Amino acid sequence: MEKSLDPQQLAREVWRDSLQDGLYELSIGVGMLITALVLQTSLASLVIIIAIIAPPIIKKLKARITYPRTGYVNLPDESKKLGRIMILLLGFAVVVILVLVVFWNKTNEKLVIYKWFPLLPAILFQGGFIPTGIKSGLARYYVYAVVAMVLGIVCVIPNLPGRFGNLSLYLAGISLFLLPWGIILLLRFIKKYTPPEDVERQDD
Amino acid sequence: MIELPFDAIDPIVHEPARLHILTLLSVVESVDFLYIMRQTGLTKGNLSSHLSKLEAAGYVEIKKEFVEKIPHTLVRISDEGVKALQRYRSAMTGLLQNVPD
Repeated sequence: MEKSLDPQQLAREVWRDSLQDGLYELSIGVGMLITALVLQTSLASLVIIIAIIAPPIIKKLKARITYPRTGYVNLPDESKKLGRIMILLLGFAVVVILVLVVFWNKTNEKLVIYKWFPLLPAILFQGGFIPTGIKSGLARYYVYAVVAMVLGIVCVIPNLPGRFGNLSLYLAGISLFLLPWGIILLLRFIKKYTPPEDVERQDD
Repeated sequence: MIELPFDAIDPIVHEPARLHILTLLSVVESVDFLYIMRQTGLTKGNLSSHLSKLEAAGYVEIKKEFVEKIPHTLVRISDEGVKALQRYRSAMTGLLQNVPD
């Protein structure tokens, strides 16, 4: 395959390459599913623990599955930029929810703020999926962004019991959408790349 | 006769495989040996030879590190390497501008 020497194209290829193992989809899928289940219990604060332990687990999976097959790549750290995007989107999501709640409250008797909660992750996911789509040039991340947003709107419709009923429905929905993708990508990745027997000796 | 600034072309960077390696390194923080091999299509011996030349020129930094307890030879572009790549781009641009139609 002819490789491009255009740095922008090369950067896109590196990003695309790092996303082909499906661990991005699997980690979000599993994380959201566990969060949805935890929110249905009285241990909702466990969500913080999930957020803390998830990154090292993903790193370990990468070290076991990805790096032996395709090599190790440390992409430029964009956590600060991503953090700024997420804070802006969080603010935007809160404003959207408050506006909707006020509007809803005028037309209905009950103030049901919790049912609008699915819009929060739906908007936040845009900050993850769209930049990933731009950086990698992979169309599936735009599809994820659209699905995440549409699902967020759909999940505010039912009147589910409990504070986090609608939010859990949303998280379970996005998880069930991403998990099959992740599994397919991972299986394809494992089939495509077999780890060289002498990975450690390659660099001697 | 038109004088072309060939002296400005750094032969270390100009070699296609090394140019590929440096360009790849310029868009990442660091990569290991296997990753460069796969991306460039170079053999183990070829890659070792090119990396040695780049390291000798001070354009890349090579060090052994443990990533999740697994040893990796990590390669990253040095500041000098970034400058060399930028100089090379300017030199080539200048050179090609001077080439008559």
